[in-house]
Amino acid sequence: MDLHLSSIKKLILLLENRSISSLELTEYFCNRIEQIQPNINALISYDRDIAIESAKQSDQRRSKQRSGPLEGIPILQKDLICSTKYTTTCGSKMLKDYTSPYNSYVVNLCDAAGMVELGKTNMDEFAMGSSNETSYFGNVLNPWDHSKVPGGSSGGSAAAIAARLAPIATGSDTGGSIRQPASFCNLTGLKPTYGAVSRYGLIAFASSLDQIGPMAQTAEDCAYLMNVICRKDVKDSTSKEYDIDFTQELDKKMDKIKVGIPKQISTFNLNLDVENAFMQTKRSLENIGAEFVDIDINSFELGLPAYYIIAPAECSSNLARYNGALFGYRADDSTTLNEMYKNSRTEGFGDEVKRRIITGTFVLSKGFQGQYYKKALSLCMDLRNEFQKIFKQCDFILTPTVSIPPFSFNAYTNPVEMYQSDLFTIPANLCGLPAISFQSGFSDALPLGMQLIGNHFEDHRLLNVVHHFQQNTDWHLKTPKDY
Amino acid sequence: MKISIDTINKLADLAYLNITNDESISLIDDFGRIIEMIDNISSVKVHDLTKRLDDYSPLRPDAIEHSPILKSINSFEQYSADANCFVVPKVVEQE
Repeated sequence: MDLHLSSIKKLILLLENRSISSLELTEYFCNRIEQIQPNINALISYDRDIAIESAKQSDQRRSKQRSGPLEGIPILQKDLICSTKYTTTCGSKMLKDYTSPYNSYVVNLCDAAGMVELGKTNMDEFAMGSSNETSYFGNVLNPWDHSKVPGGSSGGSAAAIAARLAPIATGSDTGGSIRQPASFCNLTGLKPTYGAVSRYGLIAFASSLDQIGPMAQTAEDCAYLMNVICRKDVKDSTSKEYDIDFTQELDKKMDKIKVGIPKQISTFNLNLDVENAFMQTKRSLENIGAEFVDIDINSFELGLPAYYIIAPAECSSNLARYNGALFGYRADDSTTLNEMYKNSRTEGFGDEVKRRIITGTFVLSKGFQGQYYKKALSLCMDLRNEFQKIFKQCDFILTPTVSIPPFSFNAYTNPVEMYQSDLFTIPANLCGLPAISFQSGFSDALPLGMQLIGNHFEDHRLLNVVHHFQQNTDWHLKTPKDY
Repeated sequence: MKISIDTINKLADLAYLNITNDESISLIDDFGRIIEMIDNISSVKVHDLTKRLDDYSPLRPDAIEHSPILKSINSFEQYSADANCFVVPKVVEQE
């Protein structure tokens, strides 16, 4: 039985009617990990014994009629989500040996739902990157083509799910880190509304933008995980009540939806195959009842500089705690406290992290704070207002997730060229909006994704539309050769 | 805006990072491009939140200020460098 190609819905059914046990399912995926992981480097931590023990406990709970909603379903967690079972490295030398003394709220919710944690996925260092090339633990290879990047920063989660090492994984999205790798690896990835999923135990990059979300084969699979992880948490002051059954919402008849198409889309130098896939996606959405309206939106162009001010500013502040004193890497041979701080940070952080810390230090410095940081915050407020006006004209906004197909390793000679690839995904983070990337075509056997952005707490409607889209298309069923 | 090696070195110092001369030179290029990109917001008119933000988050000087405790730890370190450990200053108990 090709269990790795089965949906979560089918796996739940197989487990419920005792056609398979959690132990058998976990062993199946462990075997796949042991066979495939050396080829793609998607995981940082994996321990068969831990996974098997969790699976045995899951089978015991089922035998005692104490099953959770995703009892026995294996999951991989991105390696910046704290879990006591494995190290939480953030893809960095700084935290390479760090094991959290507590679970993140998301991990606790997954445990309570009965899920079996198989391991932790590789990622760009501290989630800073769009290609997974900044990980201390080495590049992740895209299962669709090993010479291409899997995207980032949740590149390990994306590659692992594309290679079917687990049915589902978590990612985190600060400027597109769930959606861009989902697009590059032919997956569905949801960045939830800011506040829908607790950030307690998520190691912070830019706290006002970070959000945990699901990455899977389909919108339906994402909805199953959203049912588990979308819970108000008193330990996260930005967490909000969003009480909805995401899987029930999937089958609701799709409303007569209006989709906004940015008038400026033709000015963004879309790759020709991406442009064709965009037009094809429009037609497919039209076939299931969507109407289209042209919208005038500046947020994509202005979002990029605003993001690369706000995110580094928050990163320089959040990463100040890594100085070798309390936890994380400590440099040897320092003779003073200041020297220890400096040496530990210099040796513990990679180049991209240092670049962003220095950028953040600059935009927060007294001479430039007003010109950059405060202006970016003001601009962000204006962009939010712009989106609210647009959502009076339409329900969703459609764009490509990325303007280009997956690119080769070392394709960019300077960081700003790579930053440009976040153009379409950034505004959703700046404005706290939910956005989903879904499979929409191919360019020379490399996957392409499209993005729908919705209004706050309309994540369930995004999943509903993409679910209907996936009932009428087959892009999401395609898997990389040899996987 | 022209970025100098001195600026890069000062920022690195504020961020508790050591950078070599070669790294400073490479950072000047990268950082220059980043500044050029983020400068795109300078011509944009926005609703000015500066007053509200200033009230909420007042500026502080760009300097590493060593607290008296830190200074005392550093002075203790002069005596403990060979011991490969940090000495915590003794808290003077009130009688």
